[in-house]
Amino acid sequence: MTSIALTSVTEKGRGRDWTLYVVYPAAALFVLIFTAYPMIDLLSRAFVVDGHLSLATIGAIVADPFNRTVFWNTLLLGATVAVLGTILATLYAYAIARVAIPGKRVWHFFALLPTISPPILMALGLILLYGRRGLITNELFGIQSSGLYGFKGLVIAQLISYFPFAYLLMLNLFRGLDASLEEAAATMGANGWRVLRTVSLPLLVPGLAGAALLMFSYSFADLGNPLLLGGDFPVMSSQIYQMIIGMYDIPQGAALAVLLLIPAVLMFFAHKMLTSRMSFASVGVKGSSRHREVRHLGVQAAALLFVGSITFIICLQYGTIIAGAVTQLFGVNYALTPKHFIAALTKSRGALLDTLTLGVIASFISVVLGLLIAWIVARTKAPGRSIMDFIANLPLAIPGTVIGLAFGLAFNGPPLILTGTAAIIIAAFAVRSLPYGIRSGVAALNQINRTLDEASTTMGATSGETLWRVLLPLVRPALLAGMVFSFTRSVTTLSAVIFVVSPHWSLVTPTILSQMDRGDVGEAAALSVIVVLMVLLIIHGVPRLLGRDWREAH
Amino acid sequence: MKMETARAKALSIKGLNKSYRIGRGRRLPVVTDFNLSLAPGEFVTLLGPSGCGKTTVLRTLAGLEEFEEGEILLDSRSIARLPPHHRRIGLVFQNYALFPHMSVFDNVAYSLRIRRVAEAQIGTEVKTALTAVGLEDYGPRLPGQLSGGQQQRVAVARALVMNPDLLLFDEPLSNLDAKLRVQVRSELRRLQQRLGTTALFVTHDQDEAMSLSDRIAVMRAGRIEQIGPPEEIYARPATLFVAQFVGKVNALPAQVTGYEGGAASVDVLGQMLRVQAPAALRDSDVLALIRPEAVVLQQPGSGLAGRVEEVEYLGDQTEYRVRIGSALVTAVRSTLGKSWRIKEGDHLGVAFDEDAVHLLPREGNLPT
Ligand SMILES: Nc1ncnc2c1ncn2[C@@H]1O[C@H](COP(=O)(O)OP(=O)(O)OP(=O)(O)O)[C@@H](O)[C@H]1O
Ligand SMILES: [Mg+2]
Repeated sequence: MTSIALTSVTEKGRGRDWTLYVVYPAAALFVLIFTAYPMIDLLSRAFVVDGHLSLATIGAIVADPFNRTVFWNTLLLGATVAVLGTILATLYAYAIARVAIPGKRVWHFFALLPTISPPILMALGLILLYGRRGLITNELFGIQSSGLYGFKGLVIAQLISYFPFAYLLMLNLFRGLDASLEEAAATMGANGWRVLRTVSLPLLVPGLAGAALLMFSYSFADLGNPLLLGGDFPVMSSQIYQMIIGMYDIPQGAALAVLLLIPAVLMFFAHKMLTSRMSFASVGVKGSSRHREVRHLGVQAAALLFVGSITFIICLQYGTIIAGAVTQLFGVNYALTPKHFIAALTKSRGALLDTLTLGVIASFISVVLGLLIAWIVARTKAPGRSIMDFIANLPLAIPGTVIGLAFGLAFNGPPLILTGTAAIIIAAFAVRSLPYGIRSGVAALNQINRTLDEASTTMGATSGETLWRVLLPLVRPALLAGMVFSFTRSVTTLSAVIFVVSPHWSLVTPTILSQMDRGDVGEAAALSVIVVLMVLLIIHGVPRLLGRDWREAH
Repeated sequence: MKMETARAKALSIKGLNKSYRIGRGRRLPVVTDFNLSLAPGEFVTLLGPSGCGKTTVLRTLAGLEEFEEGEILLDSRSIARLPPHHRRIGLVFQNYALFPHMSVFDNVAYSLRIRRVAEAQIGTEVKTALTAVGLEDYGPRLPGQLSGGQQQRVAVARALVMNPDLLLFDEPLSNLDAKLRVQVRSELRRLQQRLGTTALFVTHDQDEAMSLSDRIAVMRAGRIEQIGPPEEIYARPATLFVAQFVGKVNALPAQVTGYEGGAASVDVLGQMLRVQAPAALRDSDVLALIRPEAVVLQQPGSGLAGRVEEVEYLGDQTEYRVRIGSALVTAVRSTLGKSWRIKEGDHLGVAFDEDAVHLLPREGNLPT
């Protein structure tokens, strides 16, 4: 009896960790082919001239004063959006987290709406409202101005598109702050404002910087708004697009992309360093995180006014898009019509279905792969696992335009030609979501006590069996949440896919862009409404079916 | 100590009721009809099991929680409606709540800076406070660089330096190791006495309560079950709950058979005892509360016949579980200096020390 049990354990022991031998190479291969290879390919296009390492292309790019202007434009836009966005996000988060105001669920919902919409919607809404034939500028004030196009318009569009991400971050920080610190300050005689100034805000400084860097990188990566609203204020992403699509100048485009990469990567590492220093936010035992709400009438009124105004602006955007979708020609003929929706559902049905299918497949891949990589990194001693982790996380640092371009270029020629296939789109989606997949995988695994694996191992399971029988069932809810998140990300991105779509496989965001280009504003609006509804349905439907809020995991 | 020893104030809590909202329209009563008065300079301990509402009482006093009913007076002034920053009540938090981004010095100086005390004076006052808790050299450090015990002492210094009208401590010693706990608590007591500040101290450690307090208030499920000096709480508990909470006790069902001159005659397992008791207990069923140290173990033949069922060696003391008829009685003897070794299975005689027996009505005090 004993001897039988012993043999079976040792036999399993001999075939030990076969899973690792399969999983590890598969994950490594994916990361190498779809992250490392395209980026190396892009770098070589920028730095290799006639088979030699050379700075000539980059040099020429930098020497061109126009390019330098574009570069500074990008930084200026990024910095402005980062500063203003962080302020907006902090105030919004403070109002929601700390001030006793009614309707918080509503304010929260509308603030999050932009996080699940393609950013290009902001440009669309703004053009309908304030453009040359805009409802407000033209109809209300009779101005035929183009003041919207350029720096100002871009700042507004990017603020509305991206401040919600910073808001989410700040909201979590405000909620996570140890309440007893503020209470201690109060018992020592500090009034509300003083507590905020001397205790809460100093503790939030790293978080504020994190929010600012987040906004900065979103601004860098944005392509849709600069294309539609940029006017005579070109930025790097739109310049790369013009270079590739307009002039077919691939080396120049690649070199520009590399130039954009530099500040983006710097930002990313600055952010990483900062978050690793955030640890001082907790000392010793953590106290309660239940915070008393501010009940000062003036503060309450101001907070309500603030969140109300922002929500109003957001609603105005979406309302206008809906109006644009159901009227003949917004700005000219306001007669109601279903024709745009019909057109969107017929002409663009392919794009909608492709987006849905490819988005689901890609989010599945990124989450499963993310968990596997998380598991390899956190629970095994496989050699090279930290390099794999690093490469897989790189897309966080790389603007979507750069990844998209790298993909389009790398897989357009041997050794691996994927142009025009669904695979290239899936891979682009998956690579960009993979860091989030890893993050939710790590979070899920961290929830599980290591002793569980160890218990399973002592009972004779290989690490693969442990993963399959013990860990996977436990982390399934977190994985589904991660899938929903990564799906949203894929569906809303424009920059990462604009260079990889093809007539066979079209996607919604590039379709909206080309409709806008053609002046089919109604159809673009209708399609936008459909996408947002689709994402809302998935975000609220899937977790409800599974009984869990997807935001918990992020 | 140079801190001005200001007017000690009396605290009086009257009819306090407090509940927490749990979910829609449902409230959980946590503190019920709570009455407590502290004389100026008095040190009172709130003692009670986890979750009985001790922290809630302190937070309500500090103004950190709203409450439904009741009145809180410092001397004769109501502070119930003041915001926390106007109350002048120092609170040492259960988790210290040190500001992680400020040095130890800045943490302690916080309340002084708020009161706009001159920097020079802040320097001396903070130094005095830190010296008082034995941390005079730790000013420049960040809280994250201190051990748990040191952090706790910083928290105490921070509350002391604000020279509050009332000092509240929420289990400030719970995270210290046993030895340091004893040391810090006597320091704390000395400091409080020197400053003469009225203090309310929360703990669920009965030794701590006994050694520190002028009076102990034993709490149970949001109410005060009994309040009195430590000796009274220990020797004459008002309920079985109090008796059991402050130490081991034998609760033996007994019958009062006679009453004369303020003392009842009771039959405890067959031994007749005369015990001081109120007249209300005349002719009633009672519980005789006998601490293990009041159970005297003798050679067989004298007293009640018992048989040792269990011997538990505790170091300085040894505990015995002795079967007397159907009852199981716990006795304790000092381990040292005893020539007579008692083993499991031994037969012996048992007697109860009459002066240390306390009677409770049996009704409402069912032995557990
Ligand atoms: N904010 C709150 N909301 C709802 N219930 C609460 C809240 N704070 C405390 N409670 C509940 O009130 C009761 C009393 O809590 P309190 O913290 O006062 O207990 P305590 O006596 O300090 O316990 P401990 O010794 O464990 O610190 C507990 O049952 C607790 O669960
Ligand atoms: Mg407590």
